[in-house]
Amino acid sequence: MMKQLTRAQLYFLPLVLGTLTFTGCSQLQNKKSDNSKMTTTTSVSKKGGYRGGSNKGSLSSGTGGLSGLLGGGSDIAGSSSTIGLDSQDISSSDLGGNSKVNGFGEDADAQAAIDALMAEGKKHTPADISNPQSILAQRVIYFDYDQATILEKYKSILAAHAELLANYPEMRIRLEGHADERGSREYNVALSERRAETVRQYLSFKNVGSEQMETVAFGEEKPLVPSHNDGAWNKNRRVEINYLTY
Amino acid sequence: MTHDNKHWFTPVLILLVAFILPNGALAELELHISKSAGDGIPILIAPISGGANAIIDADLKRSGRFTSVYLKKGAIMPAFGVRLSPTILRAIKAEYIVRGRLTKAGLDVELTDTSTGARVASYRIANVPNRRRMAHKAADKIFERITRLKGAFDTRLAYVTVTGRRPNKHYRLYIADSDGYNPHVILNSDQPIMSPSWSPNGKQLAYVSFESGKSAIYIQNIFSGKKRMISGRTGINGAPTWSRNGSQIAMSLSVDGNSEIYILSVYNGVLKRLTNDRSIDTEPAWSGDGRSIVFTSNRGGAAQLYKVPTYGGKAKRMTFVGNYNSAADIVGNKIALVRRHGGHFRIAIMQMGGAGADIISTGRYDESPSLAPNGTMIAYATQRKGRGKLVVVSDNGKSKQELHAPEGEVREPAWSPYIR
Repeated sequence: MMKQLTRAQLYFLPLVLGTLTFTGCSQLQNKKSDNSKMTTTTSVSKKGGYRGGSNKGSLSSGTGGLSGLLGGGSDIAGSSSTIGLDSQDISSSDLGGNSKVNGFGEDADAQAAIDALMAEGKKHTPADISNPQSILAQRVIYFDYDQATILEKYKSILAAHAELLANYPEMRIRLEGHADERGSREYNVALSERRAETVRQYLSFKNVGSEQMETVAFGEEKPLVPSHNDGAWNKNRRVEINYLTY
Repeated sequence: MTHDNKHWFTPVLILLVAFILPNGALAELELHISKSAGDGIPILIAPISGGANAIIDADLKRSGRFTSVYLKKGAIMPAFGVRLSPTILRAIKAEYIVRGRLTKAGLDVELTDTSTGARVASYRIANVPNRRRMAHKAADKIFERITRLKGAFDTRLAYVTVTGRRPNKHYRLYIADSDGYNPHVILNSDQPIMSPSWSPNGKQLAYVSFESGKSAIYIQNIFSGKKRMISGRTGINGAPTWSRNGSQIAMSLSVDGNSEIYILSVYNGVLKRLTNDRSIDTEPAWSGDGRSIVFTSNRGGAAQLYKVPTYGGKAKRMTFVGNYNSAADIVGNKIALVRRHGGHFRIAIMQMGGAGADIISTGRYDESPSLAPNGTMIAYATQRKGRGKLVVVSDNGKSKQELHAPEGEVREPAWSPYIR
């Protein structure tokens, strides 16, 4: 089925594959058949698709040709970001035959291609932090009175931040713990630290590096809402996730 | 001391000073007496030129142990040193009469027992730059002579004020006379200042400042203004409390993972860990004998007071009433604390080793109790109409004074030790 591919097209393939994981197969096939410039038709079935957070998936080819194209499958298998493609339907024997792609001078370009592919597979990017539509725009979680336990409803927010931070290890956050005004001031400092620490540990379990996080405990000293009622207290018992490098 | 009221005896000048001072910066706290004892020892403080009598009268009232008696309109009290006639002694419904006079040498006061007409004591208070202190010293003498308890009126309060709105808040650490007069700012910051604690010689304050972006403990000389950081470790640096002899400071640190009680030597910086528990351990206070530390811990599920020897060992729980007891301050055997009582946070007084406690405050969010060095008065922070203010209440609950900041909030009073 597959015929000759030019080098340019080879470089393009990873991006196509990446797009494929999001757009779905039939759409792409339609697109491609409409595209007169395409000299080949690639048939890919997306069985695995994107498996966020799993390390098991790897980009692999049933014939070994695709991994050869990408400069060694192990690079990808070892990556934390994963694209799972069941590629048995990719006819890629011709791809594997292109020795130039595997050549020494091509590694950097191939890696760039992988990176591009990986980026396509991620849910969140640093840009999402300033996107009010993104879950990453939610950077405050709230706590029950005199408690430091993370409430179930905030775990998806923390998971989203954890994923971003794990994928961008150069990013840094400060976790600011706060308490409401009830109770003594130094006790509230300690309580607010426990809240920040609980969040830090949660993110740490989600593969965020310890060097990426710092905590600071302000107790009741910096209320978000200066009133003295339940509504204000609910908002003041909080941990703020502040990105330092973005 | 840049702002001593040298002319406190000249009301016009006091008014002038009040106008000249900018709002907030050095403005005095506004003082309101909201309650005084009706069944205290009746005492009459005769007018003294310059007005020291009013200061003495207010001091004695604050103790909750005296009830003021005043001269009838038009009545004239014989001058200082003049023997009081039986007619006058009978006419005045007081147990004691205080008369005084201001001389070049200082303030003279004498105490007369109306039951005998005898002069039971007389004192000469030497001149000091802060003239109000002379009246406080006189009140201390009179208080001690009558109650046999050392007077603590000539003392100071440290407190924190907050002005402005988020994110432009301004924090100031003040010291003032114990009645709120003669305030001086000793620290300015746009970040929180917390937990002032006096050195036992009354010359230094330890406190927590977030000026570096996170908490750190500093000690500062209140006269020279010189300060140094004594703990800026990772995590919490909080709740510093000076030991009775001034050589050590107990504090709460989380450098080893979670908040624990430590004792730091002021002289050589040696740090000793006192508690080891996964819960919150904070707010250390030295026992009256200096041999144990009382602290707040939620190891039992909620905040309660515990006691541990300063050489270490097992902590013993001290409070069993109420689901929140914290922030102990100790003088002698007397412990002031915050207790959650009927849903409100109130100030309570209990005895070391005792089981019961008296609730002595009436607010909803009262906190930061600090005992006068003789244990007869307690300063604490409360809220009225959403604004923080200070209250000074007598240990018997009979007298109460409120101290408001002209603007913003005032909080975290710390009563100084006796000063010289």
